[in-house]
Amino acid sequence: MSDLLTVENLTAGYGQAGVLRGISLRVGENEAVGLLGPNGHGKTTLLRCVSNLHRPTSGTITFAGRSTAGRSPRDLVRSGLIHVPQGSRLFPQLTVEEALRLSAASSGHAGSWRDSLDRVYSVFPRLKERRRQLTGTLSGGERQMASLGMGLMAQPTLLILDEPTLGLSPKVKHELSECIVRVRAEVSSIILVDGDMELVLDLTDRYHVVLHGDVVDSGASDDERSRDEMMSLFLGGAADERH
Amino acid sequence: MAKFGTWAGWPAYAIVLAVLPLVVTDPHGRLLLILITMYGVLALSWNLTLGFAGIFNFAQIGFFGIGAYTTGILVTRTGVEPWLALPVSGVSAVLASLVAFLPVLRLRGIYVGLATYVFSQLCIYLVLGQAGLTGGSNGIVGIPRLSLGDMSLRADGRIGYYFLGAALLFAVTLLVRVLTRSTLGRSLLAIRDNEALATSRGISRVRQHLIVFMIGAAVAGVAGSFNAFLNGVVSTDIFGFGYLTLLLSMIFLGGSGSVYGPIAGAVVVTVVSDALQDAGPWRDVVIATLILVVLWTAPKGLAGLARSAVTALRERRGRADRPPSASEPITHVKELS
Amino acid sequence: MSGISVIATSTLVLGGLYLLMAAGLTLIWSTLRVFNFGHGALLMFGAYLTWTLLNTTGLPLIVSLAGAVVAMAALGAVYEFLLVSPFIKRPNGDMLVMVATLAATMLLQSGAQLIWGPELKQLPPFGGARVDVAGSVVQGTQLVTIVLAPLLVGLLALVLRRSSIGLTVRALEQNREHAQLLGIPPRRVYLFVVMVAVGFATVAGALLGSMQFMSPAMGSDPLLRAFVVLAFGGAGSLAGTIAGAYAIGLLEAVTTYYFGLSWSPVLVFLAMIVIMLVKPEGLLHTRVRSA
Repeated sequence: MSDLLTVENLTAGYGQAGVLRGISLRVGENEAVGLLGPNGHGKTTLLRCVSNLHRPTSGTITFAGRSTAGRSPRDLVRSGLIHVPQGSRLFPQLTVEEALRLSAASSGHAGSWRDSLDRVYSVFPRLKERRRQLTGTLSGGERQMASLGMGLMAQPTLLILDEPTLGLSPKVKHELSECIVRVRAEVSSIILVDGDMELVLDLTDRYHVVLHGDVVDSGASDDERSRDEMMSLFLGGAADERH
Repeated sequence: MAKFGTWAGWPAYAIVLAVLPLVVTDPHGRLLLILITMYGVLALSWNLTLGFAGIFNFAQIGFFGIGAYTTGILVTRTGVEPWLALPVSGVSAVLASLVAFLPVLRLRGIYVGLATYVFSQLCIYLVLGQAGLTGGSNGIVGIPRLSLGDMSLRADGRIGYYFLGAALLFAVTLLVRVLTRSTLGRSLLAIRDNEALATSRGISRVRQHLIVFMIGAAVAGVAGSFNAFLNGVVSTDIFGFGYLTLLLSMIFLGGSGSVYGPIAGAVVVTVVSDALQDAGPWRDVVIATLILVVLWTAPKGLAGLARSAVTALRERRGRADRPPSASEPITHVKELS
Repeated sequence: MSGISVIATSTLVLGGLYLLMAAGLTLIWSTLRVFNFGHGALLMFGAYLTWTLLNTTGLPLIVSLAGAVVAMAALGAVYEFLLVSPFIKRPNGDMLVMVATLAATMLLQSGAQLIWGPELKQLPPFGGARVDVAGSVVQGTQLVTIVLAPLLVGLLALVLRRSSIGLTVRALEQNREHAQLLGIPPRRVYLFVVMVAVGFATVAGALLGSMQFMSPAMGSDPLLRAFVVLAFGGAGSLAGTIAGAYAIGLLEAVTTYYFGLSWSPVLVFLAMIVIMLVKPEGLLHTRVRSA
């Protein structure tokens, strides 16, 4: 399988603090990859490096055969790399439909935005109900749906989802995970980061566990045995965090 | 600038200040030296709030003008001992700073800049409105010169004014230096760089900012008084755009984060400005361009340049026997705009 | 009776001028998060440029103004490129931009002195139409100001609300980082915003230059009033700016009528300081941030 995204030996940090320590991973075409691990271990920083919101100190990132170094976020968006950020408050004074149209237009798909809109509304029927509402007045779950919907409007080849279920109740989380299944059918590749491990494993093909800025474990998401091992590793890492 | 941090620095500074007028003896050069001391004092005092505390304080020119007008009114209307006007002007500027500080209580960043800028402009309108006291647009003329016993400070190429200015400059430099190293100075930096953290450590932003605001105003008021005695006249020009930009260019040329930078800025800008005295509008063109070039190329000003030169020199010495480091694999990611 | 109509007329004229200034400043403030101290000097430069076009080409005044608006928008692009964007991302960027735009004011003012010299200049009135309102006559430039300013700012509000570039501007001011992740190029939007704002300032300058003599410092008073408008209406809200501009126009008209020209600015500034203390976010600040 050819690689859509490869990250090699990436290091990055904020000021003196190193967050990523030579992390490497790859995402194939038509593949959903999950990233697991406790908060503060570099998942979000990795994603911010991938979409060029943060400048890595060393290492290389290749997307669709081209290095991402020196390219603007806009350029990456236009080549199909779409990042749905963590906990975005969206654009409080734009309506849902304005926000969706904006995403299509700014990613260079202004011409086909009506078709995309229909697709997004079929994936997220709730957004259609709310289309005239300001995104600032949406509930947490709806806001995530709008955020994912905006990602779809940009016609991604690689969709990066950072903590889509953060802070949602179990019921809303369930509803959203069903939406993500439908999103999965619409795009080639996905990177999914979420605190809910079960959800990540259910929705992805492969997973990586990120601890202290590096991948410490990888495997197929449907492998029950490694799933148990990984769970204890993950819980151990998370327990370290608390003490 | 040399390392004043070492014990030898201060006496050397004092000696340089004392010897300068013996080297520069022509009246014009003397006047230039006097202006440098005055602008140095003013720039140092402004940099306390603007640079160290990070307050967008544009009222400093107002304090300078209020000091000058206080002196003008005091010595022409009441016949008070002229020397007394110096400290009294400092006090009146402090009182004015309490008013100018009001916006800082509730506003942040750029809004403080707007409000304090408006304060300075307000001074002009108040002076014009109170023409009976301030002379309105004619200003106050005939301010008597300072004298020490029988000797006028104007005598011998204004050497008295020079020594007064130099003494003020020395004292204010020392004050700024002590202040920035004190708990107050450190807490100001803490507030500037991370207010939430500083506040959680029990530092009161309002209190610390008020103190530094008042100290800055007192110095500016005294400098204004000095200016009034030196010129013998006071007019609303003192609140104007000219002084504002001149002082700002000194601070940013010298380096707004540094203790001594503004002095270097005062020297350079005063000399350049004087050299271009007859060039009309070209003088402003040159000074404005100078500010912009410094902002573009050396955001930390002359002081920053000096510091990095010193560091580079040290590093070269330290590294002389080591091979240059291997080229590091750096991913060049475009800076987000 | 005539007192009221005099006050009403000058409210609308002053309010219109301040509106043109403050709308541009607000737009820059809400998208770039910096304050343009050079806006008054740009107004002045626009006025002089209109005068030059009028007197060298012999074109009608309104065409000269249009030409000046285009030329000044181009200058605005250079201005943004050289004075704003190099500093905007640096630590302490807003103060650096403030100092850089002050330096720009020096450059533009002394530049105007060098180019146009010290002789007094004035633009002819914009049209000869006159309207009789309750015993006082409104005509020429005053009438044009009363009509044109709200028209242009209304058009701006419409563009922001309805057009795709407007959508982009609003998105950028509401959430800069997410806007970038959608592929919005901030630099281009900044450029657009500054060009529009400078265009508005040019119109204000030409109107002012037709009502009074032009001078290199003619922009500083309107700039100060625009500060007050921002304090009053809450910077960043076009609706607040519109209301604020006319409120300050009214305040100035009333205080000038009753207390005279020298006390009016004092009262207006005092009002600003009081407002800033009582409601730092702006007296008219509402949740509707983007008009």
